[in-house]
Amino acid sequence: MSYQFEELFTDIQKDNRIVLDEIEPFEHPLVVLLRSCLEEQEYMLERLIEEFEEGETELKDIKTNCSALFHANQKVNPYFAEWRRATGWIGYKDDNPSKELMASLQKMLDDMQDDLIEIASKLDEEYGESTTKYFIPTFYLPEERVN
Amino acid sequence: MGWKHERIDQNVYSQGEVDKWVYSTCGLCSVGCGCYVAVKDDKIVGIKGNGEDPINRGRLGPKGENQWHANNAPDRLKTPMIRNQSGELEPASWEEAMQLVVDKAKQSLDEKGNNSVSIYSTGQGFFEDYYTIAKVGRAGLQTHLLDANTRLCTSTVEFALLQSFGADGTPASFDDIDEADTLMLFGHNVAESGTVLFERIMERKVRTGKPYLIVVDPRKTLTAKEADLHLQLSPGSNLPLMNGLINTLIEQDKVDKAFVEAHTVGYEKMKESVKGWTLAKTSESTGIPEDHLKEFYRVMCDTPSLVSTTLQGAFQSAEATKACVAINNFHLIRGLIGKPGCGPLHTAGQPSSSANRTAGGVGTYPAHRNPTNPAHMKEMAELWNVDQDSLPAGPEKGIEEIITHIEKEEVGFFWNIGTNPLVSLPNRSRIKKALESVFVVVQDPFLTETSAVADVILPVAMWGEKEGTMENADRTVTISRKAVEPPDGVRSDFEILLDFAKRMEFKDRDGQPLVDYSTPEECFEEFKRITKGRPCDMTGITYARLESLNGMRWPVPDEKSTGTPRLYSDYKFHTTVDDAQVFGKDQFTGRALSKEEFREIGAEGRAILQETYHLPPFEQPNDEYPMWLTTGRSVWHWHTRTKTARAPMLHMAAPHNYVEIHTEDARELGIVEGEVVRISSPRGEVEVPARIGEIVQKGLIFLPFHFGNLEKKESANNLTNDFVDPISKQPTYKQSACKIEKIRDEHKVKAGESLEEIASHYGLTAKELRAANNFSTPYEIEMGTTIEVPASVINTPIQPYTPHR
Ligand code: SF4
Repeated sequence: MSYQFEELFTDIQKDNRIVLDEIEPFEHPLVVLLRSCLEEQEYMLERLIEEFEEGETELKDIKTNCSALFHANQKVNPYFAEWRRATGWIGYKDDNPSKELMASLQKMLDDMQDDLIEIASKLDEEYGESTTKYFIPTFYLPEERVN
Repeated sequence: MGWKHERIDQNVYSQGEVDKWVYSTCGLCSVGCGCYVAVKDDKIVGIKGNGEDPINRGRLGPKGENQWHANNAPDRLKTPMIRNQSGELEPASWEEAMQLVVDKAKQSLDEKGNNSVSIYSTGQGFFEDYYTIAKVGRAGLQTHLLDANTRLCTSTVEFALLQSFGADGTPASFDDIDEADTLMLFGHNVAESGTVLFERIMERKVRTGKPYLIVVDPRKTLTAKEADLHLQLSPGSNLPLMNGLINTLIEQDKVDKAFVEAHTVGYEKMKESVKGWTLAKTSESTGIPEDHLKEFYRVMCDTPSLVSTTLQGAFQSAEATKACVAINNFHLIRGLIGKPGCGPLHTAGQPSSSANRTAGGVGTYPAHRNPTNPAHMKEMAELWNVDQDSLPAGPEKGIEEIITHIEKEEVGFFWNIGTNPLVSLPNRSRIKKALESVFVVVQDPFLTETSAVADVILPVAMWGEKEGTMENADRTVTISRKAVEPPDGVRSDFEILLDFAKRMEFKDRDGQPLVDYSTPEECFEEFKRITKGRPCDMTGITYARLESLNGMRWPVPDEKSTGTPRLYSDYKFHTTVDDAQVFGKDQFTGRALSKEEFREIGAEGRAILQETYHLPPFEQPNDEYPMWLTTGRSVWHWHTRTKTARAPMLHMAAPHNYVEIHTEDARELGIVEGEVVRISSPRGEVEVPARIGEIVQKGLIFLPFHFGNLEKKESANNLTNDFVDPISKQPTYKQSACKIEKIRDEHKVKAGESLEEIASHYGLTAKELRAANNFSTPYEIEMGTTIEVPASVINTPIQPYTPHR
């Protein structure tokens, strides 16, 4: 199980790094917020990967970082959506990101979210709903019991 | 202190004496004026102020005085309606309508899960409605998607209070305004939004010279005109203004160090975040001249007592929560809280939006319980006698997030109660498209614009036709008695919710009905038990006491208590881990914190000084859209005019929408008074007459948001962007980019034609035509010249309003 978690977190970490690199040139206030959340995700992912590299972990060792990671991701998606809308309104021109870049970033963020949903499901299996519901946001938990 | 004299305002239209006067509370704004409803022949025929009520001592504002007309409007809905196969709304029985509502809710739950059902309610209902929504929504439907138009109104209040003090509940009250040496009205145009409160402020000011009045507003509003110091800041610069003030206080070594040491945490981090906000930088960022800022700093750093009120100019602006938190920070580091005449007083727009927050119909669980704290959820489960695992946990979702879920086809049922989102939500075309794609129930007394997307409409009782309690902007809980029966065919929100719960067969852990009260008073008694020991403890409140004492401010912990005018006079804040209403959010990104992270802050009953790093507005004027757009209220209307447009006097006073344009901008663009201009943004456009003057600053235009007819191009929310505050998720209506375009015909000058003749032909004056063409002399036309003629000029006088007598 540890290995599977590590693999998923590493996948997310790769996408996260690419997105951070891609948005580096942009300074829109919504990108500033997006970047802050992605940097927080990066920090939490490093801690979590380290934890899982060490072998079997206990919930208490990952709970706070997991909570921060999932909740940061809950902000990543709306900030990206808002920035995308803002860019559409300003126009895809000059120094603004291109439509193609936006589409590829969206794809990476969707993949990240899918990985997080998979992690949430595994954590839910392992630790039970009474526990996970208090540190993983509802919308990442298995659909059949979202509370 | 308060009012010196009572004055009973009255507006009755009755042949002969009325039959009875029934105790009530004004149902329009968050001031919560006490009143009596006039009844004759089982009909509401008027209203008068309650002279005993300390809030208003009998006074009523124009909206309050005229609200009863809507009750008798000929277009009241008196039967449910269902959209038929051909897309038309047709009358239906209650049985048919409720069965369809229940079938669709069940279908959505079955096919898409619990979080596919959303209730979007209001700030105009009663505690009893909100508490029932909370119980039905959380324990019955078990959905996470409960929100209300309070998201557009006061969610920033809630989150600013949570971030600083650990729980909702505004610290100061109207009584503190009466005692304050200085009053800062921050983005709060109270002369137009809460008319009676402004009269109360001005009555004292005229009599005693106090308080020193500071008004922070980008417009020269009726409130600003009475200010000792009007800070006419640039749009989106609320936080820079507060950061500059706090930095100055620190630099001048005027911080109350003993208070900070004993009662707060986070001082150093907060201090670091305002470093560098010098006088020059603040002046540049806010557009306020340095000498005005110096005066502001002088008064604010030295005043012995201060109340700071906020409203939509703060809540619907960029960095809404941070700006309100900065106000809290300022009060804390000066030790101006928990004492007479002191404290932040973050107010509200609607009459009971605070009640929805307190009751848990929106945001957190009832009575300020924390949805991320298992201990609170255990308590809730025990109080409701349900399985703890069935209750949704974690931070709330806002309406803009719910719209995103609808767009992703994850929501199958959207229940809209007492609100008109097709006029009130930003970026209306997006909202309309989203709501057209989901099953929508609209619960309203009238066919509002939102009916256009309704699949079922449930007609409801209005003010005066039902009984219940509300909470105003200063925590006062009031009661409104039922004066008349609602029209035949109409039910109250409360009755509809009870019927829904019954039809859905929601049960508790013992198989008993989840909702087992049947009257509003029984419901209130249950809610009261839920509040015991919580910050909003209402144990000592009864319906009878509310009437005899003319309302009480929570907490009212026992039957000897008459309420609590001021919170935190013991300097004990709700920031211990198991008391806190939430575990807070990151002050910059809005990311929800965990219990462990909250514990690490180490507040333990002390207030939290938060960082307030500045970030510019998400949308700003640019080459294509060079103007700032801001939206707001007029004194004559309330929200989307569902009630006020049906009061003849209010309708006549301001019958249609308009745009305020600064004189210099109008001159540069050659726009004449009353000329219909096109305002567009990347989201849409409106065509409304121009009102030219100096209420707005140059580069800024203002549109009231009240008007929203789908057939006309007049709705401010055709233009607004739908960005939200990172922490409170309240939309930032006050800052969008837009452009102004003239709508002109052309006229080719014929031989011998004079400017006067041409003007008269188009119903204009020669002066207007000259201005429209930027002619500086009368001699600039000659045969063959093409001149521009405004396509339409509409006289838009707005009835003048005297904000205090
Ligand atoms: S100030 Fe508000 S509560 Fe008072 S009468 Fe006017 S609308 Fe009603």
